[in-house]
Amino acid sequence: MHKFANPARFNRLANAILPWATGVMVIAFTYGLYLIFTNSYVDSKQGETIAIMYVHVPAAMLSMGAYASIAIASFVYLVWRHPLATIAGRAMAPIGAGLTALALITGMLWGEPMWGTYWVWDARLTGMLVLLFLYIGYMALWSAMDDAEKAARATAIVALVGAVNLPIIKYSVEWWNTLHQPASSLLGSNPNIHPDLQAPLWAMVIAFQAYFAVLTLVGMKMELNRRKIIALKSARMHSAGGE
Amino acid sequence: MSKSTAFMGLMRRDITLAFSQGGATGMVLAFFLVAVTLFPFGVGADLAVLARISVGVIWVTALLSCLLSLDRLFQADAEDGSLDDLALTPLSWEMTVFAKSIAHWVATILPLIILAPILGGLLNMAGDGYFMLVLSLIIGTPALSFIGAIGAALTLAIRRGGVLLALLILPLYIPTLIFGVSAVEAAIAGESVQAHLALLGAVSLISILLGPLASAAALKMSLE
Amino acid sequence: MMMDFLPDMGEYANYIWGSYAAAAIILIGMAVITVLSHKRKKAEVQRLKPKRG
Repeated sequence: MHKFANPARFNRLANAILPWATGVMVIAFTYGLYLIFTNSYVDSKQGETIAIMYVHVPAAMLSMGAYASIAIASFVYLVWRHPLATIAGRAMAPIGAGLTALALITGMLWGEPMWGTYWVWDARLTGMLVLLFLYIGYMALWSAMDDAEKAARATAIVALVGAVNLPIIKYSVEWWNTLHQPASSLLGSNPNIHPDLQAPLWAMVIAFQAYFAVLTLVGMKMELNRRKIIALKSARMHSAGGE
Repeated sequence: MSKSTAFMGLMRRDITLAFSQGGATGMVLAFFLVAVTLFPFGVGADLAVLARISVGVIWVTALLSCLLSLDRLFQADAEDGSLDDLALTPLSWEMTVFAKSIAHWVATILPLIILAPILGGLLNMAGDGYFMLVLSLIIGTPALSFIGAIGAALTLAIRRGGVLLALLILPLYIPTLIFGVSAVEAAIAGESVQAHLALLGAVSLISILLGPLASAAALKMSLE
Repeated sequence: MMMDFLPDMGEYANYIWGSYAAAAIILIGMAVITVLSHKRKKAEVQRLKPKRG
């Protein structure tokens, strides 16, 4: 228990942040959705399906941001052994995986009207699929190991190895993609987003980020409780055995 | 015992064990052969089709064959206590992993590379590809051993860790696979192979340098 | 009648609504699961804590 770096302090901090984060999330989602559905801008190339971008892009950004956060938390854990770091990683993983799945689903639904098929193995979607595999491996490793401290170290190593490999994998997938088919991207070749689209997009990005923060904090509180339960149960068994 | 003696001794021991009866080499070669043979049954005997998929099939199957031999990389030693002996040698864990990874490559991957052109023939691979197939495998497969060792060390203490090992490692093999196949297909198409081989080599180099660091950390964790 | 308030998405309607539906299901679903799990764990911690006399 001495390693628990004061869960009470973390809970106080989390409880202070949560109402604000939830507020930002609700306001951003409301404003973003309002802008999206009253927006009359129609993209010349993509028609009304540009609306899917408002979900796909934030989901994709957060899916990668979440993995980066897990990698940073893993590094912090391996170097300084701070217990909150490993708890953060464990809490963030399912959310990141869910967002990756959402990015994939919306990517497919965007691709069908654009390209005529649901899946075309384009570089970005394929890279996102591999990211999903990395998330699944990370979560599977957590479940497979019984010893909490070993699981923390093993998953930290896996996350860092994945983080180092991810840019290499993305580059190789882009390479592979240009070999097999002409360059095509969901956002088109022009990376500059029309000004009309920017406000709702940023609102949604902020909304997704706030969402991620809220669920991560709640997830971390839950994980701290889960460990407390294990500690309390084993303390009970020991005191019962001693009688 | 000096470090170099310990290093060479460990390599020699692992290679001998792999070549022996019931060792990894025979099993992996047999799997490579059988698995490649499945493809004509699966896609039909049309030689043109087989030729088209031959490079990818051989590379992917080589990858999967390598995977088979990985979960025993440390487990066999852990079971009979030799891993504890290895802790007593003057070698750091990083050097131990390095030696075992090289031995793994020599003993299980190199035979695959020798068998590969024959399997290429079975699949009617184009003549221009054979040399590049072997060269790309030589350059690219060290990554498979060195990255694979990371997975082997991580899943050492997990029951039925082999499947988890595959799940963790296969995504990391994707760059090697992509660059390896593209090199051979470039050769067949008569295009320049330099860029492909350079990238392939870079991935292998990074794996050789960084892999043992992660593997050693994972081993220390598994053995505590 | 509600459709009168929402813009006509034309031929792409299914894909767009499908995407937003998927988003709602995943985002709300994850939120519900997380919050419910948290409440359950919290209740169990209270249950296990030694009662103060």
